[in-house]
Amino acid sequence: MNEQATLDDVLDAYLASDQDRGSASLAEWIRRYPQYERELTDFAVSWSLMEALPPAPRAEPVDEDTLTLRGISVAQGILHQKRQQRSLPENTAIASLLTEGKARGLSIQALADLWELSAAIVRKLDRRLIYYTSIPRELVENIARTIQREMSVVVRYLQGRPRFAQGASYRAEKAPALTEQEDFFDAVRNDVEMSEDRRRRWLEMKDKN
Amino acid sequence: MRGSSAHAASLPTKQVDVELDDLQIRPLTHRNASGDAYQRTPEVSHQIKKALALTPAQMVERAKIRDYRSPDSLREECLVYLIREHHRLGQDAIVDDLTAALIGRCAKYINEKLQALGYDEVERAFRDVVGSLFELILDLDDDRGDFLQVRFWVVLQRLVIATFHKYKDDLNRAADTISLASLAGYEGDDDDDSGHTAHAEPRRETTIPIDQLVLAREGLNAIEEPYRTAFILAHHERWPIDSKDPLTPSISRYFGKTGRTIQNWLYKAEEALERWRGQQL
Repeated sequence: MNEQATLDDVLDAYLASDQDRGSASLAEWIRRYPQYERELTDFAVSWSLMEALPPAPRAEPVDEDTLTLRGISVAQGILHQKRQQRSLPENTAIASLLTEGKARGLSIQALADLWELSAAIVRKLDRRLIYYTSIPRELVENIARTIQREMSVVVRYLQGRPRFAQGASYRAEKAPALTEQEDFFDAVRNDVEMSEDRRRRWLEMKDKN
Repeated sequence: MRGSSAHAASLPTKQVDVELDDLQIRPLTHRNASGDAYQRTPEVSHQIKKALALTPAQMVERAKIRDYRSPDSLREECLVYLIREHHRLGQDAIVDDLTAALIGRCAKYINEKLQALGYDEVERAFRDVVGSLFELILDLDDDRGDFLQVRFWVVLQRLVIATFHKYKDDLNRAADTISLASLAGYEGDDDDDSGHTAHAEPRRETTIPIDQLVLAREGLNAIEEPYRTAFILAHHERWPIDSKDPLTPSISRYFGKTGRTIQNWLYKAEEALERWRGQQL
């Protein structure tokens, strides 16, 4: 049992288990997640009502095309809101961490010092050669602060596909292969440029988590 | 990715398969209730890779295919991934088309499940469900919608039930219920603090077998809440009226009433159904 499971996770698992809405199967789920006893019970009761009750007497049929258009208008409202947010300056997408740094008068070494990394790892982050899920949140927050962007924008950048170094050109008959992504802490451990103090600090953070 | 789509389309099939296998798709990061990271099915992963190798026009055409038996159809789980990725890339036109295709597949299901709520409430609830669905899909900073890419219809079902729950307290207004307090011989609940006195009468048998009462779905609209919910739990879901095990759900525990009160409620629900049936004849 995952004690950190959210209610939505538990309800998804309950539904996905294809069990009936009977008291015995509900009891089993309550035993597994007693912290959600009330919510599971309410959910099961609502599910039962939804399946058992007939349409309300004054319900009027609506054709599928109208329903689809209705749904599209709701989704479009949400999309519009998200697109508006995207156009705000602090939400503008990043093309490159190095470019953002340069725009603020920060060299790659200056970025490395601000983020307590090495220039090599800053380059890797810029090229998205580090698995996003391994990057400490503190570092992501630091990057966002430095380049004055919303954290979500930095997250989106770091989650992007790996890319070749800027300005690189190749002469080959077939496309060159990208270096594979690596775990952040492995990169720290194996980096030859990073100072021992900085390395120790990052690796201690990994041990704590 | 876009640049390679035409190239991939012209290669012999084996070579395309090899190239598709090399395509990386963004992994899911959310953990399920047991603590394990969600995983897409191989079929969905393969469909995503195939879709990413298409041109935008081809992708949208495939998204419109509703026949699951077609080898070109795209599952809803795949559509969710494609919407998120193209939203991330700012490719709004593709997002709009894929969104329309996805809604076209689930609008009828959502609407049908909410029909008990009544005309005005159904439309509001429908919009709430679609809103909740697309908040999950389009929130790129959060992975709580990951399960949509594993079991789309399970998550949608959860959203529908949760929305129904929000609106269900208005069910009485939607139904043509007969107030049981207006029936001759009505007695208050045993633990009703309105001053009615409980009578220790033996439960009278109904004239209609319970299984037939259960089958009379339309008649449920003739029963007032909370007696109707008690009736459904007892006869449709077979919940016990009482239970000694504190973790076993029972009707009395759900309502916070005694077992005797629930017995009375069930009797009253059965009476209401008998009266309804009498009116149909």
